[in-house]
Amino acid sequence: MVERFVFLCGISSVVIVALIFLFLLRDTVPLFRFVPLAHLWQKRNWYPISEPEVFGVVPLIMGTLWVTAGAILVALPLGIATAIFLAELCPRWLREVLKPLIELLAAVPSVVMGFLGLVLLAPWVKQIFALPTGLCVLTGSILLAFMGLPTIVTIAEDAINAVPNDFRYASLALGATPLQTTLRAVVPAARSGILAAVLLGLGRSIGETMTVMMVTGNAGVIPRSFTEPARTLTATIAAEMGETVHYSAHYHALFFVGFLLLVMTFIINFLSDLALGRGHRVVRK
Amino acid sequence: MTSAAPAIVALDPRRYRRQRVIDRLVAFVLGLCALVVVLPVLGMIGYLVLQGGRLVDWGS
Repeated sequence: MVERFVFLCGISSVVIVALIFLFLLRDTVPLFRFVPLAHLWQKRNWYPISEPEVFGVVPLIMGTLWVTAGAILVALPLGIATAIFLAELCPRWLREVLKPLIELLAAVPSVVMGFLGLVLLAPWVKQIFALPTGLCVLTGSILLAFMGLPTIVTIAEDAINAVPNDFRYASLALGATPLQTTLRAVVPAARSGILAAVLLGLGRSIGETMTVMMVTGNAGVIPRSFTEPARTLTATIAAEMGETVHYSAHYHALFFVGFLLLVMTFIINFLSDLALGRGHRVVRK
Repeated sequence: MTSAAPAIVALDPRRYRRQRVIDRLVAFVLGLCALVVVLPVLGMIGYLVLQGGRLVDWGS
């Protein structure tokens, strides 16, 4: 009885994901009655209420990729360095102070993060880079990096802690210093877990909505640098879904955007699962 | 855990001392990264408390 209940609970989440996938697909397909698939990829603008309507999704995908790439560029070195410091070098008392503070970062609601970005970070970015506005890819990337950091730090630290002590003892016995041991024996052994941490952080960054909507400027054009405004897939859905006419081309185009987002997140999660699985196998050996 | 490094590198004390300096420098940089992650959290809390505090009439 209990086994059956646990099985049902496990299978229900899979069924729910499959249903979400089908639901998005059901409302995406009618879009092709209004516009051909080539239109979505070839157009370089997203003007859903102009006449005729233009549904180029490339600027949205590029906006998402720019913001996410920027976030990873900031979060990757900081997150891995912090995880190594916490796991291997940090005194116990300091670790007990730093860890809750980093985890607190995960508890900050995205709208508060966006609000702080709007009133604190955007004016700094505007002033430092002498821009007409601080609402650009860079501001969004920095905020997303800090939102993804708790995920990266926590999972990477767990991966480093999971490396068997035999690795450390062997390296130290061979004459390596503690830091050489950490950087040349422990971290390479934990690289799959660290990669999974980065990919999960990346997944969080891609799916983030409110913060990017508030600080990236929301211009539906392809950004050419980090100091230009951009519009992401998530922000487009959040900003336009409430105002669109139901079952119009615009409505179905937004479902198509959601479908793209789901596919992108699915690929990233699949890759991180693959990396994590490989990491477990390496540690078991 | 005690490293065998001092015993082995005792044959080359200058190299050992240099390695110790590099180790401390890298550890310092890693610590600095952790600080960079934590400082915005403290700044954020401080800013919200400060701005929220302005709303309250504390009396004079």
